[in-house]
Amino acid sequence: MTILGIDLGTTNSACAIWRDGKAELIPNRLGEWLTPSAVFLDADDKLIVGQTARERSVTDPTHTTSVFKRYMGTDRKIKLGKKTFTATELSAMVLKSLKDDAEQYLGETITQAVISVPAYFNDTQRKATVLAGELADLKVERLINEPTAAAMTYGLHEKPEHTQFMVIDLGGGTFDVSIMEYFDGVLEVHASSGDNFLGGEDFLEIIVNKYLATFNLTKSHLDGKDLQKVYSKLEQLKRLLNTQETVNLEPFIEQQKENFSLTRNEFEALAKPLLTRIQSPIETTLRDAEIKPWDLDEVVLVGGATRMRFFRGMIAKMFRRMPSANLDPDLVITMGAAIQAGLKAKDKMLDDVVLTDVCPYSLGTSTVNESDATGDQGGLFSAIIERNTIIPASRTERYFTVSDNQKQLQIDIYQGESRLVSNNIKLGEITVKIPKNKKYEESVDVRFSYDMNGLLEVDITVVSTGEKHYKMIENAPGELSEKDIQASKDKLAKMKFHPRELAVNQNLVSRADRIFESRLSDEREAIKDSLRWFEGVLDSQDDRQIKDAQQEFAVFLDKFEQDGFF
Amino acid sequence: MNCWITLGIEEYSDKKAIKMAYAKLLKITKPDDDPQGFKELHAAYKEALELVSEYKESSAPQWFTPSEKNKEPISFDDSSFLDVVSQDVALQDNLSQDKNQEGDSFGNESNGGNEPEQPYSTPSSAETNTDQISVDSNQVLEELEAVYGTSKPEKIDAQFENEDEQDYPEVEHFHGAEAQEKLEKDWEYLEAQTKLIINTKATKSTISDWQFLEEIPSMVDLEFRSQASDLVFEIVSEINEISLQEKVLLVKSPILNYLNNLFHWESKWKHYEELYGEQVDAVFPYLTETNPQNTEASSQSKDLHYYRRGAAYLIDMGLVFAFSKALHFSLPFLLGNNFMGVLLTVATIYGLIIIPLLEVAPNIQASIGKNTLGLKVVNEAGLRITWYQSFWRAIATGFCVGAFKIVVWINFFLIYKKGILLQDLMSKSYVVKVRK
Repeated sequence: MTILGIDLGTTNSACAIWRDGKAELIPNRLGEWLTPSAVFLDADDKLIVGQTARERSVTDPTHTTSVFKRYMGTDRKIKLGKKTFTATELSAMVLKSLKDDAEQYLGETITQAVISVPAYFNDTQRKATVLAGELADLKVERLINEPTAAAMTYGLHEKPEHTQFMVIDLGGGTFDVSIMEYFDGVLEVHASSGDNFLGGEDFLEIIVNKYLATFNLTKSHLDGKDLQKVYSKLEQLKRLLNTQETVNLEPFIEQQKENFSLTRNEFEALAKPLLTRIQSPIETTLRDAEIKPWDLDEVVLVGGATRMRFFRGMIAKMFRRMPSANLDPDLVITMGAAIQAGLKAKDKMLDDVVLTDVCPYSLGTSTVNESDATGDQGGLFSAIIERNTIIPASRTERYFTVSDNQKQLQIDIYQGESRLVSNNIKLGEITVKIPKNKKYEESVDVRFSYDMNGLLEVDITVVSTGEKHYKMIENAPGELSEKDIQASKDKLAKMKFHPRELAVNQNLVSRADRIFESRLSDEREAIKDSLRWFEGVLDSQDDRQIKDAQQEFAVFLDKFEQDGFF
Repeated sequence: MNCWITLGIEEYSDKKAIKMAYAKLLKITKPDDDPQGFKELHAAYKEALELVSEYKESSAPQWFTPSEKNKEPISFDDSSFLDVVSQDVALQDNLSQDKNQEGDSFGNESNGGNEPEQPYSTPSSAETNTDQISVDSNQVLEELEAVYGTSKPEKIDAQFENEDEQDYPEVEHFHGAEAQEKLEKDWEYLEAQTKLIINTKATKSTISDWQFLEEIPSMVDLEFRSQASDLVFEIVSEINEISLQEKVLLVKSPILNYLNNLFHWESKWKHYEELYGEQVDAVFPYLTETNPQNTEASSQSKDLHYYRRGAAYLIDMGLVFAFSKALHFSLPFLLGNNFMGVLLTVATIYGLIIIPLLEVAPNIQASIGKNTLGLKVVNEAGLRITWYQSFWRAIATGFCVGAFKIVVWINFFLIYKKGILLQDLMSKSYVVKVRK
């Protein structure tokens, strides 16, 4: 039984399996490792996931969506044509596409998976991810934290004797930092921290805002198509800044009156506010692990956005050394997920490898805030399981009554790092009856147990009577009931993927459409001609000819995209 | 059980032996297969590591040496805020003592033989005058070697020659002796400037006074920023704690918010609670919002709160009025012509019965007006109030309204009799017309 290792990313997703003692990446229907996490739904409810959908986001933005991972575990509805979906459902579509690719590649049915999630994903988001797997007919055997996955790849790949290192993972939409130690096949996570709302997309957003400000525009001035064009053009610009000091952009939408140019220094100045947001989790992780920057043997960068020259430079300045970059930052997490899949399947090659992980967030309860007379702060958070406690973990704390003759005590269960519970996430509550007594005379013992799969159990014992209460936290807010899950399943079942054999052609046509949209008259003619020719070849239905034409057309488009920038 | 027995090694074995023993046992006690066994094993492992690390010197290594210049105690004499806390002699003693201690410990450090881990510090820092550091990179390497043993400097060196070092000319300035010097200069500046602000304009400082922090080039360095965060927090919280004894907050919320956004203090509150104890209560409760964009808005939030309360009151009054009007209109035969009577009855019922009911109801905790405007009534613990409190609240409200009415009537009487208002009478002052 093969377990599929999946990296379900904000921008790109990928999958791999553990086979013959190594992680083996699985190419998608277009023959690529990375499948963009973008979904396109046409009028007949036919789905396209991946590169083709991303191309269409420019030509047909209302039927395309991406960057939905940010909304995992929320009720937010995302519109796709006339239908609306949750982020969980959209993720399920991506997972399904990956699963299809893997089944095709391996020639067997796949029912189990290990999926990677940002370390800082909370309970609700984790459950949404498991649910997305379920909707795609995949039983999620384990969720692995992204930096942990990256570290596994790093550890098994480099085979260092004994190192302490930091993994910094800047993906499309999430930022994670972990400190690990690797020795004798033991990979121990010491501390993790992160920012759920920081990613490569934020750097792009900064350039987009600058662009709009330059031409006195706001987003509402542009229609969906133009806005998508702006995004994809500026994404290219961002990439070019890695190799060039200055990038110039000719007008490509009506509202852009003149050339737009951006220098590396300008970009760095604009991105300065992101710097403190990047430093904060790194500092927290170091403090939690009680080590200094120079105690680290390596700083490993993971995630596509860490290719950004600016980002690498920033990390180098912070640590006063160059980060290591021996592994493909886009694929380390996928490979790590596959290694975890191998571990889960108890592969013999991995007998000597043990992974220990930590609970990345604090779990606790609410206590009375005596210094807050106006009541606008609310209760104070009292952590029972502190963040970065090794899991499985169980801890007990004792809490006392605060008023005379108190008849009951409400134990709220919170997750988060803020000192005020109002900024943390409430997972549930238990109310227990207690005998009447003077204040501070009655107390309860609250025991939290957190297991390897991220399940939290709460036991409460009233100290004076020995009465016990128990609760398993499963129903986090925003989670769906059985009925809703079935409804989601039915909704997704109605949707079919476009036939695989058409995938390559579709992708080329979408890409040509996208480039066509972004060019002006002369060039448009050239693209149109080629496209007409290509479609002519497709009509011939001659496999050989089509194969040749695919190649030729791809080369043509490549050339177009490379030249057309200046 | 004894952790050494669990690990199966001799007592007080070295770190390496502990790790090896742990690794060996872990492979037969995987957390997946035997959670309970794993918990015990890991606890033993942690305990053993802690026991052997106790022998190491406990003081945290400083990453660079503070300069001679700032050793003299901060003088608070010429500062404006002394009006508020000048009586507090303890303050001055406190701070100057601290400063001296810092100086002392620094002196000891360099005289004593045991060099703490100072990878970035210059060799024999105390003997060298920090103002004229001239260290070539070889010396720094030697220093590194002394601290790490021979293997590590090579490794770090190799890293600097890594693929893209050449491609990052701007990074070049961030290591070596020159960088060290720069860090120290920046640190001096940071310390001096922070104290200057506290000394000269504590209460009146504005965000722009503090913005110098962002401009310090070394703030990109992780450890520098971390230390800067601690320093500023320590100074600000200490000053605030002292001034709070006089019920004055010297460094005000907008500044605290700004600093919090810059240093992310809130994400470190647990660490700070450990480091500074109750002193943190002079900062954290005064952080009003976490949004970096509108620090301006915070000062207005309190006003806004009272406007909102006023508006909520008006909504309630309006409702009572509208309801009475409707009642009076639809049931004339029952209620006769006395509208004031109806109004008074409805108001009394609403004020004395319905509002208390609503205020103790879970998830509402407010009158209709307050509820509409997103307010709720809580006790001092931020929880729902009891029946008893809610009843007294209603009585008190009624009394206040009554008192208001009495004052109005007194004024009417006074105007009629004497042509003056109550406040004029009480203060023996008069309002007259300006003569041209």
